[in-house]
Amino acid sequence: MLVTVEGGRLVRIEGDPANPATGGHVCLKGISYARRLTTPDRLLSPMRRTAQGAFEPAGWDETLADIAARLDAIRREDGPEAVLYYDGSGSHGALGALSAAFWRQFGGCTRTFGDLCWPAGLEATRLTYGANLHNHPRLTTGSRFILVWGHNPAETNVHQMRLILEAQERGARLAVVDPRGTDTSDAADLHLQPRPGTDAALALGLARVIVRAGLDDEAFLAAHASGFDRYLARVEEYPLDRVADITGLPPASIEALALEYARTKPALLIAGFGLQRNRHAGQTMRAVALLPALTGNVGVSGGGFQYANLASHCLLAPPLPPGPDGRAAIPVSRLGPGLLELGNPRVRAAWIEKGNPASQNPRSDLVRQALAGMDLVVVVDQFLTDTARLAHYVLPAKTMFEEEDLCTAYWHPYLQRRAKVFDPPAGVKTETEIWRLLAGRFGFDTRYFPRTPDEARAVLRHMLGPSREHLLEALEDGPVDPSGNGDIAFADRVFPTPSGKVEFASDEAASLWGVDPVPGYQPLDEGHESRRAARFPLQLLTCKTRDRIHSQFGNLDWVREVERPHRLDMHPADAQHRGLAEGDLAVVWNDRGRTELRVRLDEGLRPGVVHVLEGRCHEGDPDVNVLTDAGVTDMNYGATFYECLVEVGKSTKSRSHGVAKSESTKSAKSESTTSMKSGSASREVAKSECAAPPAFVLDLGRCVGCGACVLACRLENGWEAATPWRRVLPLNLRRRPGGPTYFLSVTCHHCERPACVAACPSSAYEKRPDGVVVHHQKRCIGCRYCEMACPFGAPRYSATLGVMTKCHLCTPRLERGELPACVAACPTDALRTNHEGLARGRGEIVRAVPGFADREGCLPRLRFLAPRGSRRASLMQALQEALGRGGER
Amino acid sequence: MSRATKAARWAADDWPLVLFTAMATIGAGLVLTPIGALAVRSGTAAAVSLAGGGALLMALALAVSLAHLGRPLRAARAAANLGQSRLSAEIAFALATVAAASISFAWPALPGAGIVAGLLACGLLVSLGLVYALPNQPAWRGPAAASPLAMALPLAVFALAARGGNPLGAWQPVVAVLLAADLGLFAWRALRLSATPPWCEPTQPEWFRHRAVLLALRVTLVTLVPLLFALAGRPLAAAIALAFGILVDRVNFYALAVRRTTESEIAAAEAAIAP
Repeated sequence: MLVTVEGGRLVRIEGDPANPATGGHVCLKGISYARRLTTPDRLLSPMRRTAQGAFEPAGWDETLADIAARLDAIRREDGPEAVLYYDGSGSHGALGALSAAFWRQFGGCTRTFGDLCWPAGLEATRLTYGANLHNHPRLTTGSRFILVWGHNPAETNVHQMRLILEAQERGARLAVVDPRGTDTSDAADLHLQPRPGTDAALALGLARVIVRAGLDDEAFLAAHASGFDRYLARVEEYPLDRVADITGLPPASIEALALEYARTKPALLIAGFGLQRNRHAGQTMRAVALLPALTGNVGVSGGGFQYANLASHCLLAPPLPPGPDGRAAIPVSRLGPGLLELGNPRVRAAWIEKGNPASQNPRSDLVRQALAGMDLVVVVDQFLTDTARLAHYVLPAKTMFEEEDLCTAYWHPYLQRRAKVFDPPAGVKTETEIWRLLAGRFGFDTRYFPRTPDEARAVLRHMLGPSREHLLEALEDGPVDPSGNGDIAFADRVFPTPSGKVEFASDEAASLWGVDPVPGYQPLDEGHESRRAARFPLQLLTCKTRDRIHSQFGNLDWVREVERPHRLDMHPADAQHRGLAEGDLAVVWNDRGRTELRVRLDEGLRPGVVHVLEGRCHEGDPDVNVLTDAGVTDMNYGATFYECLVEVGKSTKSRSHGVAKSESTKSAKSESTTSMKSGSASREVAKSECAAPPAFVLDLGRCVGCGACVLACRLENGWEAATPWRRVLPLNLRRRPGGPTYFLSVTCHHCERPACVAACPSSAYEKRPDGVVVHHQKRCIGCRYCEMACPFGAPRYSATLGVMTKCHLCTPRLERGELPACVAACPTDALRTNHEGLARGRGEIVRAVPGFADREGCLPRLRFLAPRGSRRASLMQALQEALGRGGER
Repeated sequence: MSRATKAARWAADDWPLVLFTAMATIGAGLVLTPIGALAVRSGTAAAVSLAGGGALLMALALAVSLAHLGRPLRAARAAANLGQSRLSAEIAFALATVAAASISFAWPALPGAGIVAGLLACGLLVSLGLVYALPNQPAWRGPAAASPLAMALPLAVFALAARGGNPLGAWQPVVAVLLAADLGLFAWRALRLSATPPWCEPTQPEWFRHRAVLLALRVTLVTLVPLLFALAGRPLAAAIALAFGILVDRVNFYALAVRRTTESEIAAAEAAIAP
């Protein structure tokens, strides 16, 4: 990530072209960091909760003195383990590990273990292949068949989606396994929608088809497989009809997927977190992870199993004092019930940083109940989160721009440096500084906590280790792959497992986790086959949104203005059965809790499944985690968010706007792992793109509606929320079967016959010789006549300025040889500026598509590439026929 | 925001436009009276005073229109794009009409002054209609653009009859034809509204929902009541009723606007695949 600072103000955030995985792009959330710095709700001083429950500013000295006194008293009375230290992964960096230097001197503390996100999959992959590595993301474009399983990269890894789309454009076929219709499945050639939690059966069923068709890679298996015979016996238990019965999929679809996946080489299998959010997560992931090995797709370019890439996780622990770490007593997924149950000693105080467990952990009601009963809760955060609102003290945290640090990654192999761009605002301290000051209050050794940038660099150098400490300087020039593994994981076919081979049967899994050595399917405790399904027949999924990382970013007005509302997605058949219609206020409940939210009908969703975007950030969001299960996965202590059966009914409350409250029946994930360099680094306009007059071209097959263009435009041009220059408009978000779903990112189209220029009485508009229509604010009288004249809603009236405003195609950037901000930001390369440049290799350019037509003869210069692929093309044709017109080229 | 609040906000935002166009139409109608007086060869003195009143009303209308501008101090730029902008033309016609009507009022003996003012008023009324005959505003396009002229002409007749002492009887067929013409134009526009294409959407949906009431009120005040007064030989009452009718027509005009937008285009595509 590259940031540009002018006059002490952050004016631009762009992707770093030196990172081949992201292609020099940055996502919506990355751009929104600019707003995160300046948003009015950022905490700029310690806050103390008053007796009345409100918060008031407090000084650092008095705050730390009181916190130290109260922590010390608890430690003396009940021991150090009466204090919980909880850290999530928001704003994480290597220096976060320094917290241990405080707690060891404190005498230890109570800690959580496990992870909410993906530990079962990590362990399953490790047990199968020996390490969590995968091919360099850029090799995705060389795949001929991509199977995306339980994953929606169009929302959660837009850089990965760009590579998938590029592979498709090179002829790859895309299959998606997901109970939901998503922006990713929209692009797929095959979409299988199994019942949630039945993925292991599907994987074993696919394996059986592959083996029976003789498509398993005998040579690879003979040389590199361990326990394959036992695995073969297991897959025989999964004939097509049984798998179809379990998964709810047509046998022909299962067979077609199996045969195409096995026959097309190289084939890449990308697994997401979605299939490992239940109790049998590890075994499910093992069943899925074995398919690439079965088909000989491991260790080859364009193939493999892509789940986690921990190649950059090379950092050692920081220098720490000797001392006890305390007890790792509570699985993080059971934080609420665990805190309430734990004794000897009872947890009386909590220090929480980089996380928001009061709304993001399962059984959030119990987390809140536990925190509310404590003697002292200290939260370190940038904003007043759900958790912070329960704290006695909230300490303001730095942003990632305010301290130099190192970041590891999960998908690409790069270690990255976060440069310090700004000093923290007055009143804000880095976590390192907070620990140092607090340690001083206790009389601890404070040398472990760096005081200066040089001392911090010394810590980072130590964490890189003697063999890699030179990387600290190299990282100033860009991301570095510290592993030296090369682009192809397991290219040497050496697998660091006990057998040295791919473990189709893992005795290590059996000994460590008490599971069957060979993965198999087990029904969910809360699945369609369970007894609870009679009372709660709907399976609730709480998936990630493009707009937030859990509860992060949702507080930012810039994000909220472009994000999709958090609603209860239901298939129309399920809704109709319950007398619910679009927009109705519904109540969702199970034995654990209930919440209310509005219904959004979604024909892309598998019937029997309901969905709510997770990531509660503010009062208006649904608190879905009052419903979710605080269980633990079969391996590695993950969370079981999707073991969640619910029932839905119509709320008796009146139809009012906003999302209603949640309640119990009884009572953040990581930041972008980015490096930063100050200074401008926009991509230059390619020579070929300068040949034609600049105008926008939108590739509907690539646009995933992420909104990065909107935020980039806003950051560049500083427009107000009421006067958006660019907007992203979805078509058929409900995914009706009669047409495709796509997004129109629109702004001024710099028409050949612009209505605004003709209409404006004060000659405020000018069509420049290069075709760009610019608006001169100094000539504008603010009559808004152009607003009436433009059929595309481009000119927007600013009540603040008293004049119109609109897109000028970033003419200052164009004159500097840079692309418009929206184009430079687009993470999937869907938005471009030149017709010819985009046409090359991507298909035919058209002037009109359903949802956009030039009916008034303005001759807009926006052009489109229609969604590609046989499935989308047929949907497009169906829609055009429904509209009663052709393509309007 | 409640529907009522939205509707009220629209009224607050657009009232200068409603008042400006209503006052300009009425004022232009009064400035037309010297031509009428010339046609019937009587009432010349009354027409001079009516034109003076019209000029005053139009000057007030122009002043009111400033309230619509984000930058009223730059109002002089409003006529800067005479070559292309219909709005510039409208403003130019309005200024010229006010000037000519004022001259005809100040120097009634000046030959042809009233006629020139009347012709300019005709130009203003035509430009008033054309300003909003925008490509993406189907309800405002086509014959509906002649509505201001069609309403102002009977007003001129009623005003001249009332102030000039002319019996209305001889004018009744003319008035009936003019009102029928206006009604025809209005019916055309009402039909356009009811047959709004799927890719268009009302700009004020709260008002649009109640369009039957608004349209009925407009027909009553612009056509029926003036016609009844005319038949009863009461031209002053007819003129006053028509002036109110013109105001209601302008409310109708803005409140029931429909326009094509990208959002409405998308809605049309969505509707095409809805069961």
